[in-house]
Amino acid sequence: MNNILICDDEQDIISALRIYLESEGMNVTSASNGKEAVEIMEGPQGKDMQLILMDVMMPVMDGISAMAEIRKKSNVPIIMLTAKSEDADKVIGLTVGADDYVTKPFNPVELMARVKSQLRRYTMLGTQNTNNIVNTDTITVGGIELNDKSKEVTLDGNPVSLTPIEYDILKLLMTHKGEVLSPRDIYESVWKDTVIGAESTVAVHIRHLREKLEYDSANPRYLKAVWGHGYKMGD
Amino acid sequence: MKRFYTKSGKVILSIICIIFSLIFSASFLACVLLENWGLYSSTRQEFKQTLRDMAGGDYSVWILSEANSGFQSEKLSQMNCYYGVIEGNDVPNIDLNNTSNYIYNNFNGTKVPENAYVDRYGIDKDTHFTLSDKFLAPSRPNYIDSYNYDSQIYITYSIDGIGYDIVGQKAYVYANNQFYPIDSGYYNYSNENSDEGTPNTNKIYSKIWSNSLSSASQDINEEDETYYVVEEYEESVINAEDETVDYLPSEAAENAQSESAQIEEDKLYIGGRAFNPLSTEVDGYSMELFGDDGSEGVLSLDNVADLTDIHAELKDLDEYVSMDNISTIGTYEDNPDMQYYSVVCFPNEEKLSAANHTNDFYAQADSVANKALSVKYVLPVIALIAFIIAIGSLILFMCAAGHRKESDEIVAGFIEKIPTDIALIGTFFAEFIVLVCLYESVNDIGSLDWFFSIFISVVVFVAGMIIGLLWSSNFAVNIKLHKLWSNSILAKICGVVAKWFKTFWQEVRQISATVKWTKRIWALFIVISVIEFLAIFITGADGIFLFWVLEKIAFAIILRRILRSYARIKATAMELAAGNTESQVELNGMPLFLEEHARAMNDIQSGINVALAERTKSERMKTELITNVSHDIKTPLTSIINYVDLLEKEDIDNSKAKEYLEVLDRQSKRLKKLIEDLIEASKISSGNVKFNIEKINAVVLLNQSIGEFSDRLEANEITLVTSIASQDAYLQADNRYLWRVFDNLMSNIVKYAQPKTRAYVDLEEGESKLRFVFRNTSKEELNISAEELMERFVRGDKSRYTDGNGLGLSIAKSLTEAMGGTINLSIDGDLFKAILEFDKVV
Repeated sequence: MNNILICDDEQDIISALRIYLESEGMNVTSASNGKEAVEIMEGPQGKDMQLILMDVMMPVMDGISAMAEIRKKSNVPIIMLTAKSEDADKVIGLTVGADDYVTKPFNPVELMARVKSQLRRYTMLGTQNTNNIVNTDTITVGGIELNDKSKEVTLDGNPVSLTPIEYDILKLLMTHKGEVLSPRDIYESVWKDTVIGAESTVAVHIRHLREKLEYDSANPRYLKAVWGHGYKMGD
Repeated sequence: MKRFYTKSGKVILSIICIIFSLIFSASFLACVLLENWGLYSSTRQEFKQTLRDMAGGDYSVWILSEANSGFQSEKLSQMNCYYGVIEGNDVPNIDLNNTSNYIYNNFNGTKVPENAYVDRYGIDKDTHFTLSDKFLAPSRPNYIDSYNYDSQIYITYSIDGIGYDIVGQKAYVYANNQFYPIDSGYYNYSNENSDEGTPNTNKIYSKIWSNSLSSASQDINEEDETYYVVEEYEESVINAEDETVDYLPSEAAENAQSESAQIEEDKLYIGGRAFNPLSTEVDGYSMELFGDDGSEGVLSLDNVADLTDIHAELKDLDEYVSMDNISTIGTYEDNPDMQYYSVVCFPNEEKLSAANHTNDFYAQADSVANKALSVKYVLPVIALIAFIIAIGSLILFMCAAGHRKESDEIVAGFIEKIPTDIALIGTFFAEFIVLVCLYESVNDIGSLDWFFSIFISVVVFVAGMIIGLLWSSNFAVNIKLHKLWSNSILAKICGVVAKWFKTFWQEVRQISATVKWTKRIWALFIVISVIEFLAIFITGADGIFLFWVLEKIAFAIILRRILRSYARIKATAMELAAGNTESQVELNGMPLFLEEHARAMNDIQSGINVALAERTKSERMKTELITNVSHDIKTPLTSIINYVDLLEKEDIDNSKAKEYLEVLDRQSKRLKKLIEDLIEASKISSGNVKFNIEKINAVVLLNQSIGEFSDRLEANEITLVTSIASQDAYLQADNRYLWRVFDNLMSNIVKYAQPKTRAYVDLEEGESKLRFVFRNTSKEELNISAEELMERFVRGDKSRYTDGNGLGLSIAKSLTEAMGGTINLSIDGDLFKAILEFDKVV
């Protein structure tokens, strides 16, 4: 039973989110502006909150100020809901203390996945479960976990089925996390062959991988395209 | 070498240089001084003798100082010299070994040697003696100080007669009762001048002759005493000349005198003797005389005595006189107020060899001579070595100048930054002062304060060396930095002048470039000027010439100002026309009528700017409005999307309801995309996007795009044919926005291409351009122009049936152009072609 605080001035959005979250068996508390959210967090319920979904533009007190206020006392995960999609707005939110952001209008499935991901991280890594067995065969990037022994890949704990080529590409990108690999590099190390006009094949496979591993393949979190250079695994 | 790069290294070098220069100068000076006494140019004996003669001079002072006590004193008797004193003038003719000639001597029978010191001194009651025990004592030399120490004074005599010796070819004057030869510079005996002579000069000499004629007749008439005077003169002449051959013996003279009791008027009388005028012997000649005061005149030979008869008497006279003017001579003679003594002095060799008289001048002279001889060859060697070391250290110093221990760079310090020409002139000036001071102080070394003078000399010398070293440092560093010329005031002045000329020339060129008729106007000006000049020249109206020149200059200046002002206005107008709204006319220095014009232009310019600013502002507000509204739309859209999703999850049996829900889902997603594109389009068109331009591999980007779209193309049954010219091709752009362009163009193919056709994507590599060509066959009839397609919300079919909002091409165009590329669309029937061009980079 996870306690989640939703803070949004739009009552309909709260209701919709409540339906989604409660169907996953979560306990939802709501606030209609930043000030209420801060008050709840400072009240008796505050200690039990495991996640906050925070809208940015709200009357009385906006989401950024509220996050800054909450962050003074709590390290509870906060997912920012924002109508603004500009990079600058995202950066401000993440700097002030948000753990993740979702731009409106959001895809309910994606939001749920992110909520779960944050909860898992908070409850498992952030608290008692520190004596995690570090498996050398397992590579983890964000919610993606790749077990090289069993050739299994899971996303947020859910198994994902990949073709051997897709698996090899994913493994290559995960082991070179953060590095930009050109299509030619990827082709040569996965296909073990030199490319002759087959670079677009890599792009096709990456897109397939993205469809399987990303909630919003137009705005990928993991399999990022660095246009004109290649691909990289982001976190 | 590097060890001298430090400050202390350079100081040591300069100290070495100064010290050895000092040594060089001192030893060189010593050499010169000793050579003055003949150290190098004479034998040892001669050198020693020179010094002994100097010692003799010192003795003389001592001996003469005892004139009042008969030239004897305790001190003198102790000295190891023999000396004697002769009264009077005529030493050369006196037998020095005849003791009776001396008023005092202590020779005791010793023979006066050949090289004895003999000199004549004149002293009087005011003569002051400076006495010293030291030979060559710098502070107190033995010294006789009296007025006219050299005893000769200049005396002038008026000429009593003039004559010419034809045999000896020499002119003589008679004055002070004796003949004097005249230096050939004072007369010109020739036939170049009229034999009449100049009246004035003849007049003077006629007067002289008549005077001597009357004195001669007086002599005859007067008593014996006066006559005796004449005879005594004659005797003295005979004595002096030691020559009695052709001259009348005194008896004969007496006879002559008595015989010539009658005076012959046509003869010229000199000292009572009659001579024929030269005119009786010579014709056509005359004698021109030149006085020192510039007076000159030609004397007729009637007034010149023929002295040929007494040639033998005259030929040995060698006491030339100067002619102050044509009737006066001047000569140096002994001062009658002085007492003259000749001192004869030579060493007592026995006593001298005993060498126990160290205070004695001869002993001292010998010791000085021996010392000088012992260093005779050492001194030049020392001078040479010191010179080499000084020059060597100077060279090292100049090499080290500007270097620092820490760095290899040449660094100019304060001294080196002084402009080179200023440094040169300043050093020249300072060294000149130093040389003058040095000359004065070195000259003063002989004076009383000799120690102080040497000290001052050394100080001045060192100061001069330091100034010289500082200059050499300045010189060396500026050479090393190749700034000998550039770091000079002259160069700076030249630079300023050159810059002024350059600006002037630029302005001239600018004016002639802007105003088409400039050259013709100036040519016209010159033509008119030339015509005017010719008009003035022909009509001879010279009076207005200066006024005309001034008028032309003033006219030229005004003409230039008008042209310049006009050029500025025109240039600004052209710029404004070209769209540079920042351009304004510079108002200063404009004639009033053009200034008004320029002001009006500036008003137009600021008006345009205000309008532009307002337009920009309203554009920005429009963008902000679109963005804000779009954000506000997003919130309700979120609810719509969420509730559609929730509804889809409900069990709905009604198939129509399901169908409607599907429409809702599709349209809400389309709305979402539309809003995002709208925000993006307005941001780009208002220039609100920051581009992060970098080098991009176009081949990679194109392949990535094709890969991204492969499935959607397949789904629409479109075959994509690609032709990529090379493996790698690079361009400069922001990769994310360039992807947006490709995304939009590829989306267009997916959306609008006729299914079951081929679409083509080519990458062509040109000389300097990269060119992407996207071609497809439209599924709808393209009833629209390419230009219209680029505008916002315009789609090819005009019916807005398919998905897509008409923003894609507009966004692609804005982004491409903002990143420095171009995008062109062309429509040929159903063939749609988009050409994207970027500059190629390596």
